[in-house]
Amino acid sequence: MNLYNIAIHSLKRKKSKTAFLIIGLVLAVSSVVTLITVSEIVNRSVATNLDEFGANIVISPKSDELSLNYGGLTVGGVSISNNQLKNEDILSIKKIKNKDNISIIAPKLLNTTNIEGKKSLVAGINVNEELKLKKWWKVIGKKSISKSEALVGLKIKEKLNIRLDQIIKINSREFTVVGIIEETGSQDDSMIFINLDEAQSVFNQEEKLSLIEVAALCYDCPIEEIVTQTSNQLPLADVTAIRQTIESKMTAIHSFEHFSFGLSMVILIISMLIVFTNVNASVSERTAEIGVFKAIGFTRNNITTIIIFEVFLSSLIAGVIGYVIGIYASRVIAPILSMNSSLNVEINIYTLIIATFLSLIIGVLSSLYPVYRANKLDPTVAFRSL
Amino acid sequence: MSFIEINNLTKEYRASKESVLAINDVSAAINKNEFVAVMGPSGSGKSTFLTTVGGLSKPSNGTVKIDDINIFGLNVDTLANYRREYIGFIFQSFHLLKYLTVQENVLLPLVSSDLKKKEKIEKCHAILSKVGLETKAKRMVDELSGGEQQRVAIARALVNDPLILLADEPTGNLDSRTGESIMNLFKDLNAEGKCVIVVTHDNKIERYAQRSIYFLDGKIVN
Repeated sequence: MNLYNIAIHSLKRKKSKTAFLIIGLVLAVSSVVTLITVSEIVNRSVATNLDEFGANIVISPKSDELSLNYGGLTVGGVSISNNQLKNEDILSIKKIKNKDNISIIAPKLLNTTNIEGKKSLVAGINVNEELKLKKWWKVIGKKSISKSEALVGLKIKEKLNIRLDQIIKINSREFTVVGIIEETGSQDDSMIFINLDEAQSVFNQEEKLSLIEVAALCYDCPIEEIVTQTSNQLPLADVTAIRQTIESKMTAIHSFEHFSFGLSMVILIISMLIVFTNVNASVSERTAEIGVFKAIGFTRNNITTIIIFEVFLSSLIAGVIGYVIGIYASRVIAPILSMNSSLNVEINIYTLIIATFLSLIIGVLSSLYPVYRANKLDPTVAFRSL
Repeated sequence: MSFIEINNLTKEYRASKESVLAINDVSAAINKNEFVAVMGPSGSGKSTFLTTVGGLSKPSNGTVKIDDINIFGLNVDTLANYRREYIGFIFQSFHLLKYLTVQENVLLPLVSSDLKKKEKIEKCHAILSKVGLETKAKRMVDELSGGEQQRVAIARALVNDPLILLADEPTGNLDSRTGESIMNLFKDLNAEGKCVIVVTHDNKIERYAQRSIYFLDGKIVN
């Protein structure tokens, strides 16, 4: 017979109260596990979608020449300089430490040319990457372009009075307009887009690039790190993070996280009250028993050990059950909220330990006052109550 | 110098705005091998006297010295240890833990003991044998009769071999025949050298004691 046996026997005796205590904690732990797991999954999902929605890093050549404005960003000079970016720089970007965080690399060669007597801006693009980056593009006609095909922005289409399937000449080479990009409200409206290889050939700038737009998945990586790593790989380039884009993305991501955190706190406080009420009532009911413990010479430490061990055991069981329920609930809820049915929520031993620890903390903290009360009980009053 | 010296003991209970003097300036002396019956009507203060002498309830005023140690001068945990080693309590309602077996109940005061498990069980069986319950060690306490439950309570009080046995109405819940056997057990224990103090309002108990102390309205009247 030891103090732990007494606690275990006591728990077995008051099965319904123990079950109520465990259920209260299970509800709290499972709710918090579900909220946090779902929040993290949805955040990642939202972050991934947002990260792929436009660039958050722009790489341009270091240049002292007059700058060219593109989409509100200052990029390197259009004319050839010693510092001009090259195709091989794309490979260098793919070698940085955080390369797994990079989702899209969209290189561009920008140049001006005369089309039908009017000065126009032509962009050589990697069309697949560009379309991934600019998911908002709505194209009348064909979206993808092959050799000798071009996409045109709405403003330039109106300015040059271009129609679909019309052939336009860029530096004497013919291109068929296969798609017209609906108004985007950006620089893209005034541009003609052709394949990057074609543009490099047409403008005699083989292997050369004007800028590279990068979309980095930065839910759990510091964007500044990626900028630094890229700058180290491309010492002759200016690597700039588009702060406004990043901050708006992070605000969107963190809003759900803050909501989940707030709700978790409310649930935890409620569960602490449940545990407190349960343990406090148990102490009141056990007044005579505690009196007997005192009469036979149990110290405050002995009485504290019995009560805390009872709560500890209940919390431990509740922590594990709550975690498992939370994970299964997340498996149901997360795919619905993130609109991604392929999501898989794994049981993670590290999170299981945290959930169990959380349950233990709630249980033990909520029992401190009832334990204090038990130790302050006057046994004489306890015996008189019977 | 007596083994137990009680000087000017006062115990006041406060219930909301009112205060009740349960015992009022009581002094007494009890010797080591004495069997004392504490008599008096209900509410006269005799149970409060017993729990105060046993160090369970702190007096509002006065001192209790056992073997020249002022027990209320000890800190809470030292007093608990002292109670475990020197005092055995027996109550009218037995106050056994119903979710434990007879043996487990008797072993309770040995929880913090340095004895090995085997030694504890041997000690427990010896005590159970003394109170006539050696065959019922594994039974749950609520399977026993009232008299047997009181014997378990006595065994629990004796397991640490205390010098003092304090019993509060130990026969109150028993029929007269069982009550008699319990009182004879107390008499035997006293003959073995234990100081026995029994609180009762049953005049028949008086004949087992060497001396009686009468309480009335919180004061000793004899």
